Amino acid sequence: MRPEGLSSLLENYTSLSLAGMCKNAGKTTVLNYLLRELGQKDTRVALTSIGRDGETVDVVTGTGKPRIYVREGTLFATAAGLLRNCDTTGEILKTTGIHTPLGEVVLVRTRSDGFIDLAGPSTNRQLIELSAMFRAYGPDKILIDGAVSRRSLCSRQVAQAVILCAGASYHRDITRVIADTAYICSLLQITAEAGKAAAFAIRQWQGKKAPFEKLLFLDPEGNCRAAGPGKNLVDALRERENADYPMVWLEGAVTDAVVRPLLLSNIPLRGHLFLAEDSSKILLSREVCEKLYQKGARLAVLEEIALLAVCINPFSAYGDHFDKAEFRERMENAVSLPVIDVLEDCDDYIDL
Amino acid sequence: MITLTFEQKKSLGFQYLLDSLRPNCVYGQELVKQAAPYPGEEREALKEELCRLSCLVDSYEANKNRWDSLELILMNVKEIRGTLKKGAESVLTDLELFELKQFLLQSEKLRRLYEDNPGLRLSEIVFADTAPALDLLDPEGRRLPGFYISDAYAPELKAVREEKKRLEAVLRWEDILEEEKAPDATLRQEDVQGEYPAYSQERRRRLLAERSEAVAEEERIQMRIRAELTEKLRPWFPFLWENVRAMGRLDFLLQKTKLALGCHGVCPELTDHTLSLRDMTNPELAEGLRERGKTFTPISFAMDNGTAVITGANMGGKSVALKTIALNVVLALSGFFVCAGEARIPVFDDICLITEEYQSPRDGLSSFGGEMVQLKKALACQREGYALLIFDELARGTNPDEGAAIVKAVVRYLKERPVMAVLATHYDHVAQDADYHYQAAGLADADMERLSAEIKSADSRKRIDIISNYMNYGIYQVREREECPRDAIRICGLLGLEPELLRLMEAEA
Repeated sequence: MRPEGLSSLLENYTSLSLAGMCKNAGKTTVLNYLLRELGQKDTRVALTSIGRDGETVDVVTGTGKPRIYVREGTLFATAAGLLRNCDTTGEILKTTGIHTPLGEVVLVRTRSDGFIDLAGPSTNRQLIELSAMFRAYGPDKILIDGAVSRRSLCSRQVAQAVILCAGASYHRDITRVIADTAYICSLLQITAEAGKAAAFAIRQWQGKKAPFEKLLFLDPEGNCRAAGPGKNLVDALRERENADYPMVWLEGAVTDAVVRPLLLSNIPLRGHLFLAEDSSKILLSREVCEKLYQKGARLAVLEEIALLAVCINPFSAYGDHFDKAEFRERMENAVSLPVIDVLEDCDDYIDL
Repeated sequence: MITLTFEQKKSLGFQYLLDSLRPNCVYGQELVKQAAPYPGEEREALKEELCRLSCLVDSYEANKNRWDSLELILMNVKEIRGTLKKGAESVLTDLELFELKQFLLQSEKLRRLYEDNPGLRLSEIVFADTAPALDLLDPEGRRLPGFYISDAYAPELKAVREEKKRLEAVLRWEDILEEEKAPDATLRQEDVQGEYPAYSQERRRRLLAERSEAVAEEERIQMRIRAELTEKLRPWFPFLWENVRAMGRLDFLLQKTKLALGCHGVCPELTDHTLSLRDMTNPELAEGLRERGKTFTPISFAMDNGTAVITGANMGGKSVALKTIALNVVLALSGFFVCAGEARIPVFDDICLITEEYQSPRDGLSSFGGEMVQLKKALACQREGYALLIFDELARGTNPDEGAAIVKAVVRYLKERPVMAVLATHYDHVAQDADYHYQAAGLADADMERLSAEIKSADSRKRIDIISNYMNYGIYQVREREECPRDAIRICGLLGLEPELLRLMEAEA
C-alpha cells in the first residue's frame, strides 16, 4: 500500500510506539513520513524516543541514517546534551527530572521546522511519566521512537498502538526474517478474551495479593481461586480444586521457563486460557508458544495493543539486501496487516 | 569547634530529628545535612538564630496558609549554583538560561509573598529584588516558564528567522508537490515565491542547503545574544547567590519550626555557667518506647561548673539520661528548640562524648585502651576551652577496684575546674567526691509486693519485661549522703536466682 493511510490508521489512537525488529529496520523513515502526514493535517504531535536514536550515522553499524524532521509547534523530549544537534528554533518548556547519560531530559516546543535529535528516557516507567508531562501541553498524538528489540515498548501502558518495523538487517535469511516478524506480530495481536468479570477479579486480587503470589485461577464469571505464594504452575494445575477454572492468570513475565515444564508434564491443556498483562509480558520463544497452542491451550491478554502495520526495509546495513518485491509479497502473505516498504513507499524525502 | 561524627549524631538521636525534617529545596536540604553546634565564638549568631526561630514559632500558626504557599514555591526551586559558577566564567547555554529564568521566576514570587506580608518577615532574611534580571530573560514580559532566544533580542535575528521560515514553507510546498496533492489550507500561495511546476530532487537539495545557511546564521546571532545576555546577567549573580542563601535559611527555619511545634519544644536560654534542663525527652528513644507500649519518663537535670555523677543499677536508665542531656545540649547549640519544659544551656566550645558505642576495635586497641585514648583527648579539649564532657561507664572494661579508682580520680581532677563533666557509673562511692550526685530511680519507689507477685506467675522469659515495666527511668538528685539502693541484687532475686546464692550476695555487699 501507499502509506498515505498511515496517519489515518492512527486516527483512533492518541499514542503510538514504533518498534523495530533490529537496527536499520527503517523506523526513522516511517516516523518522518508519519510526521509529514500528521503535519499536513495540522495534528499537534509530541515526540520522544526510548533511549538514543536519530543520529546521522548509526553508532552501531556505521550506516547513514535519516534524521528526524519536525514541523513548527511540535513538542519533543530529548536529553540536554543533544539540544545543540537540533536545528529548529526551540523553546525550552520544562526540565523533567529524568536523567540519561546524555543529560537530563528536556521538553522543547519547536518554533520553526527542522531537524531534531532524540534521546528520551530509558525505562517504561519514565516514559509513562513523560507522557503525562506531554499531556499537560495538550498534544493530539504522542509518538515514541523505539530502540532495538525493546519489546517492553509494546506495553499498553506506554502506547495504545504500535507499528512494527522489520528489515533485511535482522538476518540474512529472508524466510527467517518473515517467520520471526510474523511471530512477533501474532504475539502483538493476542486479544483480550477474559471478559470484564474476570478482568475485574484479577485487578481486585492484585490489590490485595501477597508478594510472590503469581497464579490466579478464574472462570469467565469472575469466580477465582489464588494458588498461593510460591506455587509453581504445574503443581497448581494438578490440584483438584483448580480443575474447574479454565483460565489462569500469570502475574509478571510469561517466559519459556514458566511454560516449558507444563509442556513436559502430562497435564491436559485443551481449553485452558493463559492470561498475561499485555503482549509485552509474553516473552515465549516461537517453538514453545507453538507447542502450547498445539496442546490446545491459548494465550490472552488483559490489555490489548493495536498493531497497525508492518514496515519493511529490504536494504541491509550488512550488505545482504533482499528483493523488495519478494520481501513485500511474502510478508503480506505472512501477516494479515498493511505492509509498507519504507524505501519504496515512504521515500527518502529528507534527502541527505 | 564542636564536631560530631555521624555515629554520634545517630546515637544521641540528633540524626533521627534531622531525618524527620522535610526541607523543600536543595538549599534547605544542605543546611539540614550540615546542621551542627555553632562554634563558641559565634555565640551572637546562635542567639540571633534562636531569636528568629522563636519569632517564627510564635507567629507560625497565625500565618500558616501563607507559609504553606511559600513552601510550595520553595518546592519548585531548582539547583542553580552550578549554573551561576559556570556563568561567572563562560557563556550560558539556552538550557542554563532557562534554568536561570525558572529560578528568577520563583525568586520573584517568593520575594513578593515574603515582602507583602509583614507577618512573615524575619530579621536578617531578605530577598534581593531581581526583577530586572528576569526582564533580561523575558524581554516580552510574559512571565511564562518557557525560554528561547526570542526575536525581540535583535532585529537581525527576526530577519533570519523569517527567511528560514520562508524556506521551510517552500519545503513543505515541495512535499505536497512531490505527492501531487492539492495544497493544504495552512499553506498560502504567497508563502511560495516563483513558480514550481513539478517536484525536483535537485531543487529540494538546494532549498535544504539554503535552509542550512539560514540556520547557521541564526545560530551565529543566537550565540552573540547568549554572550551578551550572560554579560548583562553577571552583575546580578551576587544577588542570586544572596537569594539562594536566604531560601536555604528560610526553608531550614521553617522545618525547625515545625519540629519545635511537633515536639512541644522550648527556646533554650543561653547562659555562661549554668546547665538546667527540666522535663527533657529524647524523641527517638520515646518513639522506641511508644512502639513497645511504654512511655518515656521526662528527665530533669541541673548543674553548674564541676562534675556530676549519675549512679544506679544496670537497666536503670543512666545511659538514657546521658544521651538525653547530650541531645538537648547539642540541639540548643545547633540553633534548635530543645525537647524540654525549660532549658538554660551554656555555650560550650566543645562537647566530648565517651560512650560504649564509640569504642571501635578498628583502632587495634582493647576497649579499655580505646577509652583511655578518648579520655586523654577529652581532658585536652577541656584545657583548650569551655567543654562539656560526658562519660558513660568510664573504665568498665577493667577490674572494679582499679576502675573505681580511675573514675574517682577523674572526678577529683575535674572538680572545680571550668568544665562540666557528667559521668554515669555504677561505682556508687565515687559520688562522694562529685559536686552533684544524681541517682537513677530504678526500683526505688516500685511496689515490690505487687512486682514479686506478678513475676511469680509469669513465664521466665517475660520477667525482664515485667521488671522494666516497674522501673522508673527518671533520675533524682541526691542531696545528702544516703545509702544507694542495691537494685542489682534485687533484680537477681526477681529473676529467680538460687536463694543461697542471693544470701551470699547480700552478705558480700
